[in-house]
This record gives sequence, structure tokens and C-alpha cells, in this order.
Amino acid sequence: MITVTEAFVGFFIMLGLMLIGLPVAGALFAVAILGAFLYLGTPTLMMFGNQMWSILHDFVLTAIPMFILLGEILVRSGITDRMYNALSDWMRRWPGGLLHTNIGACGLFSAVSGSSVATAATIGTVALPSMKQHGYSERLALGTIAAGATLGILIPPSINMIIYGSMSNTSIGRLFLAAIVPGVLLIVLFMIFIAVVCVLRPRMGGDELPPVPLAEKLARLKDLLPPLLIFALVMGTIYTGWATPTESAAVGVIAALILAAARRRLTIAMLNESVLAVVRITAMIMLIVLAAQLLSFVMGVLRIPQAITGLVADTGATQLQILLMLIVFYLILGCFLETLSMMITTIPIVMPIVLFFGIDPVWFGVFLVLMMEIALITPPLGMNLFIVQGVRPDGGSVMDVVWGAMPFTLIMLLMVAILIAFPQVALFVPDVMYGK
Amino acid sequence: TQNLRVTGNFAQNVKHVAVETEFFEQLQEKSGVDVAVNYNPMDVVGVRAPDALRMLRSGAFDIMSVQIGMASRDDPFFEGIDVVGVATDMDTLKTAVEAYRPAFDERLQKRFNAKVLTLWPFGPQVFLCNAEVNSLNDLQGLRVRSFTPTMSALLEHFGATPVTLQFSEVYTALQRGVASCGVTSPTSSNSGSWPEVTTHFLPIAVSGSVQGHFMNLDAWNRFSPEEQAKLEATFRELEEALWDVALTANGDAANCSTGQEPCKDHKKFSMKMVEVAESDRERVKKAAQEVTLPIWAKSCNAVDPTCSQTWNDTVGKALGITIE
Amino acid sequence: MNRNPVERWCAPVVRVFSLVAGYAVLAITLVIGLEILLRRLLGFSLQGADEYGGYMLATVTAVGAAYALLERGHTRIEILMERLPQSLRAVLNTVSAVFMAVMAVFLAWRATVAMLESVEYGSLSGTPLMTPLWMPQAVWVVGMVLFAAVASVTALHCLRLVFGEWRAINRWYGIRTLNEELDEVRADKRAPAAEGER
Ligand code: NA
Ligand code: NA
Repeated sequence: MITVTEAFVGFFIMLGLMLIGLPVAGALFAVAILGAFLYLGTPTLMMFGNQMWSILHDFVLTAIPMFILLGEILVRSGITDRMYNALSDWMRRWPGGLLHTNIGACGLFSAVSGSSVATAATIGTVALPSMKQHGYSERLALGTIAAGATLGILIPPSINMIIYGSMSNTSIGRLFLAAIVPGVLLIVLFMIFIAVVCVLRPRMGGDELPPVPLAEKLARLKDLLPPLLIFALVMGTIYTGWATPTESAAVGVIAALILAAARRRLTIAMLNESVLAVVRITAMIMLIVLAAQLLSFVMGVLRIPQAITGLVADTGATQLQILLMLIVFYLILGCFLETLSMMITTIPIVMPIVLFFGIDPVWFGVFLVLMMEIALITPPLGMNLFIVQGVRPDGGSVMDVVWGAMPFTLIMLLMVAILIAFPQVALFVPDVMYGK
Repeated sequence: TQNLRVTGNFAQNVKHVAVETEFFEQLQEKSGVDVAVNYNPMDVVGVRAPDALRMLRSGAFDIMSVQIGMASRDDPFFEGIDVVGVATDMDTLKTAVEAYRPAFDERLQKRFNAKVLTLWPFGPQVFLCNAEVNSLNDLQGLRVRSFTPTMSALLEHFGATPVTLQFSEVYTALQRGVASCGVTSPTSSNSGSWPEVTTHFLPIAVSGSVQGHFMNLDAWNRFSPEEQAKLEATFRELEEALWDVALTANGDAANCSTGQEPCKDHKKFSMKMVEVAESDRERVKKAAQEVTLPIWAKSCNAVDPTCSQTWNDTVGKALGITIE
Repeated sequence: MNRNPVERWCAPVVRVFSLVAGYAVLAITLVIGLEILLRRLLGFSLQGADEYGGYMLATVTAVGAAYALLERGHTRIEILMERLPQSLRAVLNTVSAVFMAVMAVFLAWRATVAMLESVEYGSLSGTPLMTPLWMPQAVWVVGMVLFAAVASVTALHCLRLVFGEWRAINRWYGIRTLNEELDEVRADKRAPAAEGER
């Protein structure tokens, strides 16, 4: 057996290995091997082959490559530019103009993309050049993209949700439904903030843009249809029971293929590039999932999660105190870990605590993903900050992005508070649609 | 002190895990053998049911609670203890299990370096449907969730379409009509709230879902003969307790799911309890003889040609069935 | 800047494997789409789309692990690395490469043994298709061996460079910089600029 102290030593070895540049999967794997070898003996270590196969041939996780494929095909079929322009026609007269368009486009693209990084890169590339041109506050513009893009992992489909559901045995259909209202609410809060700031400080809201004739605006609405249609198809097939959440990914991909073909973007070269990206990204994610599951197996046999849960339970903390602790824990960890790795690594430890304290696992999925969104835009390590910094056309300091994203971080924390105060914000939709 | 590393059944089988937990906590005291147990439900540590026999053989675990149906992936011989359709009630199942036990243990020792400590059922695997199903005839054309090859064959024999779904997906599948029926034990379906999304409860047992506790032989041989005898006696108590759970708990769950009394330990629902015609029980037995046993014998004989002969000499003899 | 010889020789091979794996994803996707339609409209289940989906994921992970290694696509934390002197970074990159090789070889070995066990037992998948388990596992093992091979060559290359041309290590096997990351995104967005930049 093993003491909690030894477990913490193991945790710091893992962090240390990550910090000296070992791939995250490798660091997890090293600690798993070390633990198995020192405490469980070689027979357990030698079972890693069978364990690997059991972990990997999992139909639920098959959704990951399929949702990545969906995003890759859509980006390459060039729907994002048109989508952005159509939204801009409708929102340009609001206080803050194109800033709302940024948020809207991020939200819409999130509805078809499973990842936030893809959303940031795609929308950032389209949006930032015109922001500069129309004299928007640079920081605010950068902030809207960095923050808006975090919606990619909240608004379904979401790769993070699929992995969370699979690792915690939570229904992915319920998770997807639970994330819709918080996602929309977050968009609304972002927009209210932008409007308020731009009414108070009109200069930050950029030049006044001429209105677009109604006929043209209506004609352009069709450019919003592709993402909406695919979102409706994916969620609709899940809701009506035509398909399981995993299968719904296939429906989305097929729709995207038809769309790309209709726009004459479906070529062999495009498909080659798409599937290659799918293979690379899937392996990157799945290798971390695999290593984390092996580590979780070793920790489970050593009863580490149970011991830590016992330790936390002994403090006599309330549910609220536990959640506050988890918020602080994830804010700190988010300073130096990449978000997906952080989520996958911590689920095996955190889930027993969550269940022990009677926290609803579907609700917690939304909470967890919100914390990951915050980690994406808080320094020093915030992937979305770097991506937006990378795609901005001028070469300013990364601190512009950091400051720009700051108010949005606060709004997200507000959202976390709302979620804690009113759990129904997340649970209402799945409860109504699936029954309690 | 001998340390024993144990994996138990699935945590969602709350009742069975509770029985196991208590048993292993008291193992030292009850048996008088100096052991220290590290017990965890298999899904809590992330062990997959089909890997059980390999894990036992390697010695990664000393004792494992094994889902025999799934573990038979590595040797169909073990599935012979409970071939779909053979035992339609729990008494018949008990007869079959006892008849097969010696051959089962011998093969487990020889091929997987492990020995049988207990053999017991989850309980009758019955049909829960969200369609007007009052007899086997009504399964015609329905989509029914299946999880083993032989069960699929049986369903097809009755004109149903087998669909494969993971347990966690069955509830929504039934709710949304992806599947019309599911097959599982009354307790599992009750705790999974299937009665919320189904209307007809058809209590024809197509299998008993037999489980077992097996022990790695190297671990076993570290005990003296006297200690082994004590352990065997203590595990027999566990086996009896689990048979008891299968009989009483499933009766209670069936009552609760169909709104009948007595209903003590399960959630109350109001499904229609279908009266099973004797002719339907006969049809299942006939299907076993004609469909599932031949399929099983074929896959088992492929691994070991004496398979069907062994079965005929044990279970077959006890129940008066012969695989041709 | 001269090209990495390891990448030059390995990349074409790994790319072919990855393309096959990638099109397998597409194929499974189409089969699942078909399955949904058949199930819904004709009440007929193809049986096994889910099973093959699982096999596909295992194989994509194995083959892709090799591909991601060549493309430096595995997630690494740069927060400390980017503050270290170049020489130390080269050493740490070598340590990483060697470690990944040891890990990949170990995994490939255990994967092979798991497959051989399936052969020994004549194991069948516990699904209605009763697939002999060794078959999908063999495909998976090929991917794992590819990963082990690429990781080993990489590690050997690092070990050879570290006592001489060590600067090349950081260029070829260091953590990808953001710009390299974004070049890819830019390349992806080869779509012509949106018409009507108004
Ligand atoms: Na999304
Ligand atoms: Na962060």
C-alpha cells in the first residue's frame, strides 16, 4: 500500500517531468509505470498491454475523431468567412458593432467545432484584420476573440465533454444538453458587457459602420444556415433518439461533406489534409487519455482516490466549500498545465470526491468545462491567449491580449457563481428532455 | 499475514458490492485465516470485465469477481455453465451450475492458473419492452438489445432484430425507440429506471447471468491445506448469500417494477406484468436445443473438441438435454 | 536550413499509414450514417459499426502517435523550457526523446503480447460478430510497432546529435513554437479571402 504523502510525491514527480519538457502523456505514463513497478509488482505492469486495448477500443470515444473531422472539413470548406460577414451585417449597428460579431461568430462556430483552439484560430484570422481597420480598441477586440473562442468546449459538440462523460460514466447526451443554456447565457453576458463598455466609452467601439440594406441582410442570412443546420442535425438526432451522441458525430460529418461538395471545396487534397489532421490530433488526445487511464488504474488499486476523498471528507467541508476549493485548485493548476491534459489528469482524483459530496455529475461536467474555459484565457499559460496573439496582424505585446481577456475571465467566474447558485441553469434542459 | 488484492463486481450492482465488501472485511475474522484484503469494485479501478481471466492468470489480482459471460471471450467453455435458453428458472440453473462446477474448476486451473471459489447468478435475464409484448410471438419485428452472440441468435430465432447498445445507453434507447426491448435482470433494470421507459414486463428467463469469484492459484497455494479448507468453507457462505440475493432481490424488484406487493427494497413503478404461457417456456427450451446450444458447441469445439461431450456428460445429463 | 534526415526518411512511410488510418475514420463515419438510416427506416441493424469503430480508434491512436511524434504534435509544456539556455534544452529534448522511445517500445511489446494471448486462447470479441480478437489487435500492433520504430530512430538521432550538432536537436525535436503551430492553421485556411470586405 501507499501513503497519501507518497501519492503527493508521485504527483510532483509527474509535474516535474512535464515541466522539463516530457510530453504530457509520457509524464503520466512514467508515473504509472513507477507506481505499478514499486507498489504492485511486475504482473500488473505486464498487464498494460491488455489494459491499453480495453481502454482504446471504446466506441463512445470514437466520437472524438469524428467531431475533429467535422471541424476540419468545415474550416476547409470556407464557411467561416461568410458566416462572419453575415453576422456583421446584423450586429454592426449595436454599440460595440463588430465586437458582438466576434462573440456571435465564436458561438456559432463553437456549435459545430469540438475545440476552442480551432475556434480561436479560425475566427481570429477572419476577424482581427477588420478590427484594426475600423479603429476598435485593440485590447477589447483581442479579448472578445480569446474569450469567445473558449465557448468551443462548452457549446456542444465538445471533445472535453465526451472525454469527461467517458471517464466519469456520465451520459454524453445529457452533458451536451446541459451545456446549451450556460453557453448561451455566457454569450449574452459577454454581449451585455461589450454594449455597456461601448456606451460608456464610445471610442472603444470603433467607427460607426453604415447600415446594410435589409434585402441584402436577409439575402446573407443563408450564410448562417450551414453551421445552424449541422448543429440542429447533430443535436436533433441525439434528442429524437435517431442516434446516440457518438453516432450523431457521423451525421454531422456527412452533412459537412455534402456542404463542402455543394461549395465545390471537396477535393482529394482537401480530404487528405483533413484526415491527416484528424489522425494527428486524435492520437495526441488519446495518448493522454490512455496514459491517464493507466495511471488511474494504478492509483485505483492503490486506493489513492479513496484515501484523498477520505481526507477531504474528514475536513467536514460543505459542498460549497468543496466547490470553492476546486475553483482555486483549477485556477492554480491552469497556470502551468494545458487545459485538456489538466482535465484528463484530474478527473480520476476529483470524481470520487464529487460523488461523495453528492454533486450531480452532469452539473459538474458543465462546471469543470467552465473552469477549463477560464484556464484557456488566464496567464501565464492560456492557450487561447497565445493563439490570438499569434493570429493578430500587428506585432503588439501579448499583454494586450491578457488585459483584453481579463474582464471576460471575471464574467466567466460570475457564470460559475450563477451555476452554483442556480444548478437548474444546467440541469433544466436535460431533465426536461430526458426526465430526471 | 497474506495480502490479497481483490477486485469486486461492478459498483453499480450496489447490492452485490455491499455483500462483497462486508464479506471481505470480515474474511479474516470469519475464516480464522490471517489475511489482509485490498478490495475494490472492478470499474472503480478501471478493470474491464472481459480481461478478468488474463488478469487472474498473470497474478495482477489474487481474487476477482468475474462476469463469466464476458470473460468467456477468452474461452467459450465457461459460457457452457449458462448457455442462453437452457435454464428458464433459478432451480434449473442451480442444477446446471452444480453439474458443471467440477469441469469448470478443472479447466480454470489448467488454462488460467486460477480456481473457483464461488459460482452464483445475478438473476433471471428477462424482457422489458415499450411495446405491447404479451408473448414471445410479439417480439416479431421488434428491435431488442442484445449483448452476446448466442442471445442475438435466440432473438433472431424469435423474429426480433438484435441491436447492440452499451448498458448506459439502453435507457435512452428505450425511451426514444431506438430499441423496443431490453434484456436484463429485474434488479438491474429497476435500479437503471428502465420501467420509466418501458411498459411490459415479460418474465421469461433466457439466462441467469452467472458470476463467480476466482482465485489465482499461486496465491491459493501460499495457504496451508487447513487454511485452504477454512477459506473454502467461508467462501461457500458468500456463494449462498449471493444466491439468496438473486432469488429474493429479483423477486422484490419484479414486484416493485410492476406495482405489486410485497415491494420493499426497490423503486416502485407500474409496468404490466405479463403472464407467461407454458408454451412460451417450451419454445425457449426448444430454441436452446436447436439454436443456441449448437452455436455455442461449435465455437467451443473449435477450441477444444471434447467440449460438447463434456457438456453432455455434465449439464446435459442433469437436465436431460443432449447436444447432437 | 537543412532538413531533418530522420523526418525525410520516415515521413513518407508514416504519412501513408496515417492516410489509411484517416480514411478508416471516414469509412466508419459513413457506415455509421448508413446504420442509422437502415435502423430507422428499415428496422435493420448492420451489427458491428460500433465494434469496428472501437477497433478504428485503437489503430488511429497507435498510427497517429507515430505521426504526431514526427510532426512534434504531442502536447508538451514549454513554460519552463523556454526560459532555459539552448544547451540545456537540447539535453532535455534528448531526455524526452529517449524516454518516449522507451515508453513506445514497452507499449508495443506489451501490445504484441496481448495479441499473442488472443491467438493462444482463440479469443473472440464478445459481440454478435464474434470477430477473432487477434485480427483487429494485429492491425493495432502494427501501429504500435510503427510508433516504437519512429520513437527509437528519433531517440538514436538525438543521442548522436547531442555530442556534436546539438543545436539541431532544438530545431528538429524541440517543442513546436506558436508560429509553427499557426503556420498550419494558416495553411488550412487556404480558402480565398471572403468576397466583399466592406
Ligand atoms: Na463546441
Ligand atoms: Na491558464
